[in-house]
Amino acid sequence: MMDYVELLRNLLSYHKEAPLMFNSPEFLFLGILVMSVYAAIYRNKLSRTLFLLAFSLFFYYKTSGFFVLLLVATLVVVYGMTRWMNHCKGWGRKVWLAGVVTVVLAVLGYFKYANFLGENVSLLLHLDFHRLDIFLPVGISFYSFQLLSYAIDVYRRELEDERNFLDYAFYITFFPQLVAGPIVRAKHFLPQLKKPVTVKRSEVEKGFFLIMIGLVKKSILADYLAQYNDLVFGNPMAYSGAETLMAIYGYAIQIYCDFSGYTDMAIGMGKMMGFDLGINFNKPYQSTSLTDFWRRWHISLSSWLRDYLYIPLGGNRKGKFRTYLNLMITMLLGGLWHGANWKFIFWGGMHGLGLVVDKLWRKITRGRLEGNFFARILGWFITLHFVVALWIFFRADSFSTACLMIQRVFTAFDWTIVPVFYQTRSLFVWLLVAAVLIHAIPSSRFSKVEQAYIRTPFLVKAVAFILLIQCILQLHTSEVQPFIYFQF
Amino acid sequence: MDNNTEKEITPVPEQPPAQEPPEQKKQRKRLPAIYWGYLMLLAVTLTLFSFYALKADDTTFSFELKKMELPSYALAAASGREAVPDSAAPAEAVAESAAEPVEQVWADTAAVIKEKHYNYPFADEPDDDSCSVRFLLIGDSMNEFLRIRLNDYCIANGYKMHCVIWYGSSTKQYGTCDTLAHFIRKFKPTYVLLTIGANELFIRDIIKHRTPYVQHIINQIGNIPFVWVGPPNWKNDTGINELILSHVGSSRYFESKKLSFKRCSDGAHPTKSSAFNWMDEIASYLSTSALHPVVMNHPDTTYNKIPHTTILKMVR
Repeated sequence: MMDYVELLRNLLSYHKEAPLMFNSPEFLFLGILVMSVYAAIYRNKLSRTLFLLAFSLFFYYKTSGFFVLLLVATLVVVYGMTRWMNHCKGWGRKVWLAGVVTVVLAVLGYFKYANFLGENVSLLLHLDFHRLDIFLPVGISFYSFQLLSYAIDVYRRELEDERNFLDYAFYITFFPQLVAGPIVRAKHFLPQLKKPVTVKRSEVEKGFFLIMIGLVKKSILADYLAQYNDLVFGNPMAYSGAETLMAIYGYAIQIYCDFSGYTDMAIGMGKMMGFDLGINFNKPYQSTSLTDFWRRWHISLSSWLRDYLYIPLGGNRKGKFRTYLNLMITMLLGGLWHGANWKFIFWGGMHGLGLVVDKLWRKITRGRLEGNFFARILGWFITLHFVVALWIFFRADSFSTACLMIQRVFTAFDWTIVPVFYQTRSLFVWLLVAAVLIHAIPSSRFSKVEQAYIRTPFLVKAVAFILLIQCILQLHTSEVQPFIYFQF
Repeated sequence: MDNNTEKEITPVPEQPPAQEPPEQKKQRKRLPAIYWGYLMLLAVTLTLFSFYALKADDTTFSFELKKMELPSYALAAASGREAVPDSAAPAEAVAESAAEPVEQVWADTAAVIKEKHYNYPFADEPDDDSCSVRFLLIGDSMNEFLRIRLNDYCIANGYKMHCVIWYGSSTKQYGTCDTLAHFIRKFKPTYVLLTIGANELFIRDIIKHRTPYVQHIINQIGNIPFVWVGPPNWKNDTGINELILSHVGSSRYFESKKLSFKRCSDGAHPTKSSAFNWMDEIASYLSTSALHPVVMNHPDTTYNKIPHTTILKMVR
C-alpha cells in the first residue's frame, strides 16, 4: 500500500545528500506540476509572480535547505538599502551602495572564503587554525552577483529601483537561473515582468528543444565522459600519457557540456514560460584568441566582470600599464569567484596573463593578421590548447597533480596504447567526437536544425524524447551527477 | 567611478501595457496547444519510466533496459517498505515485498544450508607470512570507498593492492565467467578480498540459484588466501550471507551485516566515513580472526588516494 503522506513529506523536505537538480526524476515530477499550474494562472500577473516566487524558494530549499532563509534575508536587506539609496543624493548614495556591497560580500565571504582566509592567514602567522564547519549554500555566488549588479545599476541610474518587491524578489530567485546562472541583469529581466507574458508556439518549441539539447550535453556527454576523466584525474600515475591526454581533452568537453547543458535547460525553461534569460555560451572552443574566448564562455559572468569590475577600475582608459593591471585584477578575482582555492586564483591569473599577451600581440601586429586564414587557424589552435591546459589546474586536486598530468603527457606517451584505448573505451571516443561535432555546428546551421525540429510531427518528437531519456539511463552511472557549477 | 554615474534621469512611472490588437489579445489569452502537448508528453514519460522502474522483471528485452532511479523514498513508499534497495538491484528488492516475508525465506534457507558440507581445494593451513602482501580487492560498487581505505592500510604497512569494481555485479556475473581468474593471473595477488553479494540480498530460492556461482568463484581463487567480505545489509536478506558463509567458513568470511552503517542517498551504499570504519573492522578481522592473518597496522591518517583500479561495466 502506497504511503502517500510519507511520500509527500519526503517530496517536500530537503535531502542534503540528494539536492534537487534539473536532471532528476523528482524535478520532472515537480516540473509537470509547476507547468500545469503556470498554464492556468500565467495571465494574471500577481498570481504568476506569487506562484513562481513560491516555487523558486521551494526549489532553493530543496537544493540548500534552510539557507533559503539566508537568501530571503539578503534580498530583503539589499532591496531596502537600494530603495534608501535612491532617495539620497551625492555622498549618501555612495554610502548606501557601499553598504549593499559590504553586506553582499560579507555574506559571500563568510560562506565561501572564511576557511580559505583563515588557513592562509594562520599559515603566514604560524597560528593554529581549525576549519569551520561551513556549508556553502548552492548558487550563492550567482545570486550575490545579481544583487550587486541590481544595486550598482540603480546607483548608476541605469535602472529605476524596483518599487514592486515581488517583481524584484522574483527576478533574483527565478528558479531556472537561481543556482547556476546565467547571471541575468535586472535591466534585461525586470522589464519583461512589466509586460503581459506571451507564450508563443515557436518559443515553447525552441524552449523544449533547448531542454533536450541540455539533457544530451549534461546527462549523456558530460556525465559519461566524467566517468573516465575522474579515474585519470584521481590517479594520473596509473595511466599513460596518451590516456592522460584523452582525459584532459575529455575534461575540456565535459565542463563545457556540463555547464552549457545546465544553461540550455535553464534558458529553455524560461522560454517555455515566456521569459528570456539571454545567452551564456557561444561556441567558446571556436575562439581564435583568448579575448574572443571570454566573449563566448560564460558570457553573463565575463560581461558582469567587465561592467562592474574592469571598467570601474579604469578599463583601457588609463594607459597601457593600467589596462594590463586591470585585466589581471579582474581575472584574478574572476578566478577567486570560482572557488576558495589557490588553484582557481592561479587559473584566473593565467587567463589574465593570456589576455595581456593577446592585447600586446594585437598592438604589435596592429590587427593585420586578423583576416589571414592561417593566422586564424594558428590562433584557434593556440587558444584552444591554452584553455585546455588551464582546465587541468582547474580540475586537478592539487597543483602537483596537474603538473604530474602534464609531465606524463610529454614523458609517458605510448602510441601503442591508442588502438587499445579505442578498443576498450570506444564509446568514450565516439561521445568525444559527437561533442566536438555538436560544438562545431555553425550558429546558422543550428537555427536550421531548430527549425527542422519545430516542423517535425509531435509524435516523432515525443518518441525522440522518450528515447533520449532511455539513452540517458543506459549510459548513466550509479547516481545523478551534480552540476560542476553548483559548487561555485 | 565614471562621471556619468551621477547624472540625473527623470523617473519613469510604470507604464501601463500598450493597447494590443484584439486578435493578438485573443491569442495571448490561451496557451498554444503545443504547451499542453509537451505537458502531456512529460506526464506520460514520467508515468512510463516510473512504472518500468517499479517493475520486478528486468529482462523484457534481449538486452538490459536500464530503469530510472526513483528517489529512495518513492521506492520505499511504492513497495510499502521502510528501507531502500541498492541502486543496482531495485528489481529484486521490490519483488520481495510482493510475496512471502523475507524473514521466513531467510529462516528456511538457513535451515537447509546448515545441513550442507562443501569441499574445496583451497589451503586450510594458517599462514602468518605477511611480509609482502599484494591484495586484490574485487567485487561490486561497495569497493568505491573501501579501496581508498584499504589503500591507506597498504601505504601504512608497505603492501600493494589492485582493485576491480564491476558495477552492479553479483555472484551470477563472477560465477559465470573467468573474470576473477583473469585478474588473479594478471595481478598475481597474494591475498584476495571479495566483496560480492550486495546486489543479491533478496534473491528467492538462493541455494538453487547461487550455489553453482559461489562454487565457481571459490574454485577460481584456488590456493590463494582469501576473505569474502559479506554485503552491508540494509535489510534482512534471503540467505546470501549464510550461503557464502557455509561455503567458505567463518575464518574466511567477514560478516558485514552485523555492523551498522550510515548510508548514502541511495540508502544502500555506506557513506565514505562509514565505509572507512567498515574497512577498519575488516582490517581488524584480517589481522586477528582470518585463517590467513595479515599484519594490518592502523594508518595514522587517510591519504585519500584512489589505488590502481579496473572498472568493469555490465554487458549482456
